[in-house]
Amino acid sequence: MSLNRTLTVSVIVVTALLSFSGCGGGGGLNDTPDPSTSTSWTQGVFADESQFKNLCQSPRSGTDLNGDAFPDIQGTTAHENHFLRSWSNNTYLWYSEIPDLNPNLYDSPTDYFALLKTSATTQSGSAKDNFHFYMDTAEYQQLTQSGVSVSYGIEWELVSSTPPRELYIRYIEPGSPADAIALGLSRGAQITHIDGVDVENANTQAGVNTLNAGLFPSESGESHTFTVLDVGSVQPRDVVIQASEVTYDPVPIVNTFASGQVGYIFFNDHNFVSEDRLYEEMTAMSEAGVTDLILDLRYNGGGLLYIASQLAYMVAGDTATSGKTFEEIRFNDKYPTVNPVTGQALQPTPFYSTISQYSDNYTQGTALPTLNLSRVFILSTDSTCSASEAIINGLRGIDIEVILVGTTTCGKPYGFYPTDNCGTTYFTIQFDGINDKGEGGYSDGFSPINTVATPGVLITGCSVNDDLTSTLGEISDPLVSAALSYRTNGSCPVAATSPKRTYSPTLKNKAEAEGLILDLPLRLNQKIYLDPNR
Amino acid sequence: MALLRHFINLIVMNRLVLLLFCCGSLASCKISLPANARPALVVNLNEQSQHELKQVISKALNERNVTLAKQVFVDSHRLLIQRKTIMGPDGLPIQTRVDEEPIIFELYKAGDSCYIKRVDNQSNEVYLIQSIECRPR
Repeated sequence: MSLNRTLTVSVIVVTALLSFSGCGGGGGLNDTPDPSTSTSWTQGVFADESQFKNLCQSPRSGTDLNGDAFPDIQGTTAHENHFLRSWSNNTYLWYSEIPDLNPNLYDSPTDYFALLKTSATTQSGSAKDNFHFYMDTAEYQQLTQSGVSVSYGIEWELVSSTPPRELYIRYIEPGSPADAIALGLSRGAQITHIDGVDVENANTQAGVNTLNAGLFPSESGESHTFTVLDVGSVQPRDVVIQASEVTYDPVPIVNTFASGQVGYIFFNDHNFVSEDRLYEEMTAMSEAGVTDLILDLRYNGGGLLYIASQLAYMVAGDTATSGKTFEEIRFNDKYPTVNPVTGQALQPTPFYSTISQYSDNYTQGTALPTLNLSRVFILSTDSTCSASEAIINGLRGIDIEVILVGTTTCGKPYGFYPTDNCGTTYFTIQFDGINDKGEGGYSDGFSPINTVATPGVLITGCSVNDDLTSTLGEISDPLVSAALSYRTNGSCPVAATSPKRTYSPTLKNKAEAEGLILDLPLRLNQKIYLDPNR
Repeated sequence: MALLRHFINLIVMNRLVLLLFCCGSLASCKISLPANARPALVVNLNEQSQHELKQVISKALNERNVTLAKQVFVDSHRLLIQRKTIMGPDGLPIQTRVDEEPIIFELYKAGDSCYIKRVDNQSNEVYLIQSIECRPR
């Protein structure tokens, strides 16, 4: 199945990328909002959201980033609240579970928006909706070259965003500033202070601001001082790291095991540039004749769904995927056949078998390589999210055995069309994804079958903690060795006790049990990772 | 020797003619891609040329802030631009199940001049980049 079809389906999202005002309707000549629109509230009665769209308490002046005048018109906070109420009622996946609160009683649209979600919990007791956010539209519109970001080249592992925190380096991009030999940094090193602020205990806003500024530099050339406790050392040392534009390789580690029978691919980001890298590495695996694949998605938080579909195809091959659905998205029951945002008929995402038009090195339509496997080992943590989980679900939907090794995935079968109103972009869950068998709804994630604490959907595999002191993709990596061991003898290793610098979900669960993690913040920006509150 | 001087003059004149079409700033210099333009890669990308590339692309996108690689157009004649990853409070990307299409620019060389062309929409706007050297891909 070629890719053109899906890209047609996603036209509205293109608009969202290229147009400042984003999607969600409104702004046209025929639906210019009327400032005199009534804001009276009748419980259970919802006017069309277009009546309130762009009626703003503080209209933006000037032009948007497309050079067009902002669509904002003088309105009131009540108009903004009514827009959120009607829009949520129209498109929120669980709209019937939203309490219908009088929008005229709230003097902040973002405070009101926070309440426009379900309060239901999942089987594990977690909130059913963990993905309800907003942020400044101008910030949301920032762009970057695919695969590039201003950073040190470090991926952080933060155990709790509130005190007591633990912060580790879990991955360093080769060739990045953090990879400089002189710095001597490595995976598993603990960061105890940033610019003199105690990571573990900082509990003032100023302190947290300093930590966030250090963790997430915004400008190339920006330097911060990190106090580092190297693996095996008790003597902290200070390291100054300067941020720059780092180009991340989405497939930075490839390996083979068992005399070349088992391929290993560390796949870190479903972005545009990953297509060619996956094509190259899967071609090599195919030509080498690997009979098993370990697909390492432990830190892959998701991204482009068509990349996930292509990768699943390359694993399973043509026969297994032909005529099958990789993922089908479902909106609420008001829209069983039509996407309420694009207005287009819902069409399932197939398993894409060819190169897309975004490839740099290969002609569109080129056949993808295939391994034709009947099973795949997938390495996971709670950072394995969304499009990565779609790979798991999509393959399970066509009876490809997924053997999950690691810990429970994040549990995000959901998506949304970020929608701007009056300068704020709102994220509310509008659809979920199901596989060819109609299976989805894995809010608690996927868990290896022997997972003890709060498992999600249990599937074949081994529960193994990620060890930040091990080298990724080597036999010493406990996730890799567990996968290989399971492949050989069908059994899982005995869970090892966690060394101090092993990121352990147990530790995270302990913090949650003790009430150390408060409600997560709703307002997003690039630096909201930490929270000062106990 | 005279022939060489004449040739150099022609190149200079061509650039001058192109510049005369420009309307003061580079970003507003919307021109057509010469018929003999070929996909190209940047040679010797320096701070100045990187700055100019970033400026032109940003202005082409209505002053949107764009992060570019230090080696932009060095290894590839295509530049794919996407939305900056927004991290959630759990440290994971927010927009994680997306099929947004990228904004795409391509680098071309025609004669002695280097151009970038936007190819993801119907505008097909072309911009002359003065400070870079480029070679056919």
